[in-house]
Amino acid sequence: MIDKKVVRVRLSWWQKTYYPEVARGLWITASHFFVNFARHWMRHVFRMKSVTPGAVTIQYPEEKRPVSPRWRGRHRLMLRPDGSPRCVACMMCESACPDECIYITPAETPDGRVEKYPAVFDIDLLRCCFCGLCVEACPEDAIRMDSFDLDLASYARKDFYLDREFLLRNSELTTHAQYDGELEGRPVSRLNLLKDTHPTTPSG
Amino acid sequence: MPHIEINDKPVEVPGNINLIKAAEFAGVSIPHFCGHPALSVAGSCRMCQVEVEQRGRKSLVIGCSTTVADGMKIFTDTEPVKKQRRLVLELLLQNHPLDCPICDDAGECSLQNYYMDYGLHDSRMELEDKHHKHKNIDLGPTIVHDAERCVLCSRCVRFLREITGTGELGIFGQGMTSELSGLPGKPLDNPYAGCVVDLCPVGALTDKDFRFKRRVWYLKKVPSICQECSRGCNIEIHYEMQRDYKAPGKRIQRLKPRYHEKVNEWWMCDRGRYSYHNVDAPNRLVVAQLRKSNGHGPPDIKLVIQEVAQAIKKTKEKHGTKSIAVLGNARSSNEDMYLLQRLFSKHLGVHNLDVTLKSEPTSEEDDILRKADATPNRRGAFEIGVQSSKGRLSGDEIVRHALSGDIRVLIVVRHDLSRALSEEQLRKLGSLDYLFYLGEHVGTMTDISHGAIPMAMWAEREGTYTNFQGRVQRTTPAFPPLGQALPEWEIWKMLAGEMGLTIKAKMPKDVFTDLTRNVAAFKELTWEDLVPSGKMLAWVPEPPHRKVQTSTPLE
Ligand code: SF4
Ligand code: SF4
Ligand code: SF4
Ligand code: SF4
Repeated sequence: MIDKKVVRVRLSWWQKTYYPEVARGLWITASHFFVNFARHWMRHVFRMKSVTPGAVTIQYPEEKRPVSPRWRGRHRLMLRPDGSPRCVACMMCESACPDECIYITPAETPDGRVEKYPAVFDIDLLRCCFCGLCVEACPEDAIRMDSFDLDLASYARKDFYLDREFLLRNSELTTHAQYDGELEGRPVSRLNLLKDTHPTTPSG
Repeated sequence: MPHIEINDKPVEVPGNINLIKAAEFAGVSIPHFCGHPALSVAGSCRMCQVEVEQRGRKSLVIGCSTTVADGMKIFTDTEPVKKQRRLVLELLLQNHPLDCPICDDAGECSLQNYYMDYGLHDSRMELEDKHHKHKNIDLGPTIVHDAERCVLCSRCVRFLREITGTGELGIFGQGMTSELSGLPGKPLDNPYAGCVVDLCPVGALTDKDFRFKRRVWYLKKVPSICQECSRGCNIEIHYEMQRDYKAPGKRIQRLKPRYHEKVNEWWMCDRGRYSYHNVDAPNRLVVAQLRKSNGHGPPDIKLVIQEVAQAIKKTKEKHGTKSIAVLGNARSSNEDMYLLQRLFSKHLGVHNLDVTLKSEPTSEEDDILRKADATPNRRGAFEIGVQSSKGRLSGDEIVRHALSGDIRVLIVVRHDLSRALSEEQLRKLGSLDYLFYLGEHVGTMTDISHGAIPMAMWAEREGTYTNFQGRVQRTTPAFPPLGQALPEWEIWKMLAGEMGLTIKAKMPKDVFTDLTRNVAAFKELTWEDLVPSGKMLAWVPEPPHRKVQTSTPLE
C-alpha cells in the first residue's frame, strides 16, 4: 500500500484576501492581448515582417500546418523527366500491401521502350492503413506518400477509390531530387511546396 | 557402386553419374546454369565448380562434366568454391540489366536465387558502362527473347538440336558481344517451342502467353494430367483467382510440365501447354438448358436429369433398349466411364455405347511425345467396356441409326457432331424423340438438343485417366466448377438414382475403389498410389525407359 502525500500550497495572508490576485491575473491577460495586438498591427498593417507574430493560431484551411518530411499521407505516383509514369507495374507494392488495396493491371508499353507499364493503377484509400510498406517496396521510387494532402474528406465513398490519373496529378511537385538536374525549373523547397500546393481532396 | 564422400559425409551412389547428380544423393545442391540432365554437357557456365580430392590432391573441377569415381572426396562449400561462385556471378551480372521488376522470371530465376545464396556482392560496374544488347526480340509465335538477360548457357540451343532436332537458335558473336539469336527466316515455331522457356534458367526467353499476366509468386499450383492426347503428360496447373481484376474470369494462368521419367520426362508439347484457354472460355455452359421449359424459371440439372430418366423409361417400354444409345467420350475419366457402363450396360441393358467417332479431332504424332489420339482416356474406355464390340453399334453407326430414326433417345457426351454432319442432318438429329447433351461449352450441340447438362472441366474435377501405355494417372482439382456444372460421374449417379439404381459413392475415390473391385484390368490399384506418378494396369508391364529424343528432324 502506497500512501500518496498531497502537498497543499499554503496561501499567504495577502493571497487569501483574493481580490488583488484576481486583478493581477486580469492584468497579465490584458498585457498579452495588447502586446500581441500591437505585434499583429506591426506585421499586418505596417508590414514589418521582422516582428515576431502576435498569434500562434493557424488560419486553416487558408493556411496549412507544416508537417514533418517523413509524414505519410495520400499516395501519389511519380513521373519520369519525360512525363511518363515511373511505375513499371512490378507489383511489389501490390504484393507488400497488407490491406490488399492496390490494384494494378500491367500492360505492354505501346512504344516498347520500358516494356511494362500500369494500364490500371487503383488504390482504395478507405482500405489503406497508411503503413507506407508500398513506398518501401517500390524499386523504382514510383510511389510516394508525400502529397501533403491534409484534408482527406468527401461526401462519397467512391471518391476514395483513386485511379492512375488522379495519383499522377501533382506529381511534378518533387520534394528532393533523384539525380542531378532533375528538378531544374521546378519548385524545390519544402516551403514553396507547402504554400503552392492547393491540395486536391479526392472529391476534386 | 562408387563410395564417395560429400562434405565429409560418406554416401554410396550409382556409377556413371556426374557430381551434380551425385551430390543430390547426399542432399547437397550444387548451383548450375547450363547443366541439364536431358541435354549434353556444355560446361560453359562454370557455376558448378566444386573441390575434389583424389589421391591426396585437391583441385577445382566443374561438377557437370566430372563423373564420380570410387573414393572421391567432394567439397561444395569450401572457401575456394565460394570464391569461384562469387566470381562467376559477378561476371554474369556485369552487363545484366536491372530488369527484375519487369522480368516475368523474377521469383523463379536461378540468377536471382544464386545471387541471394552465393553472391551478395556490390556491383563494381557503373550503370552507364553496361554493355547493351537487343531486347524484346520476337523469336516466333510464342516466344520473346531478351538478349541482355541471357547468360549464354546454351540450354535452349542444345534442346532444339538434341531433342526436337530443329535447331532454330544459335549463339553468335564473340566475347562480351556474343548473343543468342534466331536464324533469319526460321521462326521458333516447332511443336515443343514452349519448353525452351522452362529450360531457360533466367528470364531471357519468356512466353507471350504468360507475358506480364501475373507475378510468379502469386500462382498456386496443383499437379494434373494433360488432356490433349493419349500420352497423358504430367503437368502442373498454375492458377490464381484472388486478383481477378487483372483479367476477369481467367483462373488458369499457365500450364507447366511436371517431370515423369517414363511419360514425358521434362517436356510437354505446345498444343497441351496452351490448351487451358477453353477452361475459362466465355462460352462455357454454366446452366442447364431444357427446350421444353415448364415455365418455372430456368431449369436446373435435376429437372433435366428427370427429363432424361422419363425419356429412357418411356422409350424402353415402347421400343426396347435397342432404340437408346449413349455416345460417351474418351475425354471422360475412368470413374465417369465406369458409372456410365454400370448404369446403361449392366442396369438398363442398353448396349449401344461407344466413345469413338471418325470425325473426332486428332493430334499430330511424332516420336517425341505427341500421339495421334487426342483424348486422354481411350485406353480406359476400352478396358472398362465403354466401347463398341461385335454385334453392337459403333459410334458412327449410332449417329447413322439416329438419323434414320431407329434410335430415338441419344445422349451425347462432349462430342461436337457438327464436325461431321451437314446442317440438314443436324436439324434431323434435333427432331429426334430425345437428344440430350452433356457438355462444357455452348455451341451447335446445345442449340439442337432437347436438354443440355453443364459439366465440370478437367481442371475442376478429380479423376483418373489411363494413357496409351496403360498407366493410370490422377488429376487434382484446382478450383470448383463454374455455375451449376457437375463432374460427369455425379451426373450419372443422379441419373442412376432416377432409374432405381442407388450408387453410394460420395467421392471419385469411392467410384474408383468400386472400379478396382469390378474391372479386372484395374485390380490392385489404389487411389493413393496414383500420385505422383501413376501406376500401370494389372497385366501391363512397365515400359522400358526411353530417352525422349527425335530420330527424324521435325518439320
Ligand atoms: S500505405 Fe500500406 S496499406 Fe496503404 S496502400 Fe501502401 S502498403 Fe497498402
Ligand atoms: S512497386 Fe513501384 S514500380 Fe512496382 S508496381 Fe508499385 S509503384 Fe509501380
Ligand atoms: S533474368 Fe533474373 S536477374 Fe535477370 S532481370 Fe530477370 S529476374 Fe532479374
Ligand atoms: S536464352 Fe536462356 S536458355 Fe538460351 S542460352 Fe540464354 S540463358 Fe540459356
